[in-house]
Amino acid sequence: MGEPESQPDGSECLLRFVDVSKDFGEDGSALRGMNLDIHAGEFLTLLGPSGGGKSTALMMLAGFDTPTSGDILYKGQSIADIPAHRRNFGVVFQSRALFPHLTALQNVAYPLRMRGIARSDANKRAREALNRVRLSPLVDKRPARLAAGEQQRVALARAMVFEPDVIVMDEPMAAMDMDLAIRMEEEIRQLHIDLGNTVVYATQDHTEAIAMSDRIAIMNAGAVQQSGTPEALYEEPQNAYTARFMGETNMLQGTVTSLDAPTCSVTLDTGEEVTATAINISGAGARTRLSVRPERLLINPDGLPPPNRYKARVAGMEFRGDHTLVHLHLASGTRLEAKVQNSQAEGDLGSNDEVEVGWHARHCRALDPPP
Amino acid sequence: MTADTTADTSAEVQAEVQAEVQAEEPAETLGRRLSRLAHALNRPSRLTLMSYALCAPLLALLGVCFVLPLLFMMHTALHNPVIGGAWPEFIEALREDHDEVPGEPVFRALVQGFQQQQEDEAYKLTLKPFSQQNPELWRLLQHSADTLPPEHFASAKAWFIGSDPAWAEADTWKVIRRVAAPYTTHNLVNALDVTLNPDGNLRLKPEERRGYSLVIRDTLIMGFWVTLFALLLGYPLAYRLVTMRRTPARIVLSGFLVLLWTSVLVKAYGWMAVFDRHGIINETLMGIGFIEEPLALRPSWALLIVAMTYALLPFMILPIYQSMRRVSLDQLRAAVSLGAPPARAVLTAYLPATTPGIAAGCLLVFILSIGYYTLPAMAAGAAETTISMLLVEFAITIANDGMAATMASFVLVIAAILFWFYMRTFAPIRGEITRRTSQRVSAR
Repeated sequence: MGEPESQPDGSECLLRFVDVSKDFGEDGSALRGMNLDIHAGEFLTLLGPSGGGKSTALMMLAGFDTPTSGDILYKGQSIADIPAHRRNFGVVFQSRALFPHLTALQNVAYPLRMRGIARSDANKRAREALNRVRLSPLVDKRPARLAAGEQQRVALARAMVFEPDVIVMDEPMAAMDMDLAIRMEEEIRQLHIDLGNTVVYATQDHTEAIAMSDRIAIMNAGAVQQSGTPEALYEEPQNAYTARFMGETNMLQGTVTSLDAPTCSVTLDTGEEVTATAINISGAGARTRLSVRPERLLINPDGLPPPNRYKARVAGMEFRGDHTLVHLHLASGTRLEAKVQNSQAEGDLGSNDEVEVGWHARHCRALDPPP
Repeated sequence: MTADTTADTSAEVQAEVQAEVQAEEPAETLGRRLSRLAHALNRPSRLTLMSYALCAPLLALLGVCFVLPLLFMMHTALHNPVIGGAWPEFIEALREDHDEVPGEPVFRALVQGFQQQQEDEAYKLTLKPFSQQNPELWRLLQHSADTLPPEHFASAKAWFIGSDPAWAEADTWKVIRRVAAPYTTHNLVNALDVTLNPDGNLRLKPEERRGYSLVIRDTLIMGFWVTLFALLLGYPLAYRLVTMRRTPARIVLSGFLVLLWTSVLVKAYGWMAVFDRHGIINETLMGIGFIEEPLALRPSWALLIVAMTYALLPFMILPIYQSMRRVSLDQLRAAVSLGAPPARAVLTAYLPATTPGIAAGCLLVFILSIGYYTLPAMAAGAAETTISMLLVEFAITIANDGMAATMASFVLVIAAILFWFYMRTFAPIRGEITRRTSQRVSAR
């Protein structure tokens, strides 16, 4: 794993958010200097909590809203002055926004008809698009007669049928039940692979983002916290927010005692000495948050040198199918969680056992200070 | 026995499941809804019985105060009251005789009637329907009654035909039979300004003798304009309300409700204050020296349409507002993102999704406008007449119950036809269009 993705050069960059800010006044989420590059043909996901600015960014990209300051570039040109209907971007809404008075076929043919394509041609292409999302038997039904997943597939077909340059999807799977969402994830991913168009996707669900995306941009407080491949974001978060949002992690607070790049020594507030990979550390004396993923905690490790090695008591075990979550209490009171793969567990761990727990310094990342 | 019942029930359940599966295909039909209702009625749980019991007073009230008077009104419109009560023997004989020109017993009964009429002044009224419906026949009857010899004769038929050959004509008797029938289309025919030939064909009255049909036509035209203006004013207003923030929208809506609750008389009086000879408009225009003499703004057709439009505007706005609230802004955005310029997006994505509201609003406003009395009477009273004014004229001034009931029935029938059309056209798709397709419904 090298550096998280560096700034790509302008030639392969299709869309670029440059210091985009949006001020809604008193209400609503705002963007505060959002910077992001989106490459041609990639599946990019904006991942973040509601109110983090994802939707605002997407709505501006689609042309329903304009930035208060900053600019959005498409192929190097500002699109601020291009109205939404001439951007040729497909949009899939969380609400699906199908036209209730039109049948599935008419819905999908709509963008083609708006482009002046004759009815018979438009219908033919719409039929093909619906076929691609496996809805052929339902073409003549109105949206209200379709199930949630079918509606979303119509919306997908409608946003793709006119071969848009970019497809924008604003939380299309929110409020779907999990089974359906997982199936839709696969379908959307497959469509993206088959058609090769650029997709800008928004979601609050990190597993969804990880499963689907080529690249993820973590958004919070109106700005991109970090962007990169799912793997990079998960394994090499650059800040505590990303570390937390991408999945479960042990977050420990402490003070840096010495910095010796790429590692540093940290004294936890509870007293333990830890060696960690320095990420956001300015120097000795800085406050920091350490992040270690639970699956990186080793129980009774062999050959792991101190200091990342501590005596602990097993406070509880949660069976979770493929793995078991082990709650550990250090003598100082620090609480840690470790994931033990059940296929590799030796089955000799029990509650109240005295164990040793540790981790490699490369898996423990010293991030930005606590607020 | 028990086993049989169980088998039956399971077969029923199966049939029901099958029906449900099939119903996935076509839109839910009336038949299916009825069968489901029937199903629910066949299994009266305590709860449904209870709910019916709770509804019973309402149903009774509806029946007594709404359905019965309507039926009575329509009966009055078609009823032929006078002759049946006056010449029972004649009617009886006529009904038993089916020949084109009836036989001796009918003529004898007629003689009896004439004799009674001569004895009793009240029977003079008997001939009134004849005089109204067919003056020629009335003259024929009068003539025969006047020349009726006092002595008995061998054949009444022979005497009548001898006194006037018209008695031997089949047409004469067709007319008599129609006048003597217990029910008559006379009021209806009269209201539409047509006449009935003896052979039952309809013929429009000559133009100078038409009256009621013109009133009906004018009322419908007025209803059309009022509906159109209310729609043109109401639709953008409703859109503005939907796009407003919640609190100001509520304030404006309650403003409309106040307008709705305000007595029609108060509103009408307000309009008079504005449009009167010495009203605000005239005073202002004269004040700035634009006119010398006050304009005759009231009574007038234009004022009526303006006043009615404003009085009925809430009925247009509320259903449209409701249907607009169900259309999410995302639909408009979707249309634009799919390549529709804003105006076209509104026409193709927004407007059609609100058609159920538009139709409901138009239906309400049109039906209410053609039955409105107070405003037309005050705003256009002397200048123009509407169906409702005619109705009041018949019911109170002239005391012609039949014609009053006929006029009322017209309004009712027009309303019923429009409602039927609305249900047929919009009810099947309304559910599909107005149901939010977004998952927000389930999320709630």
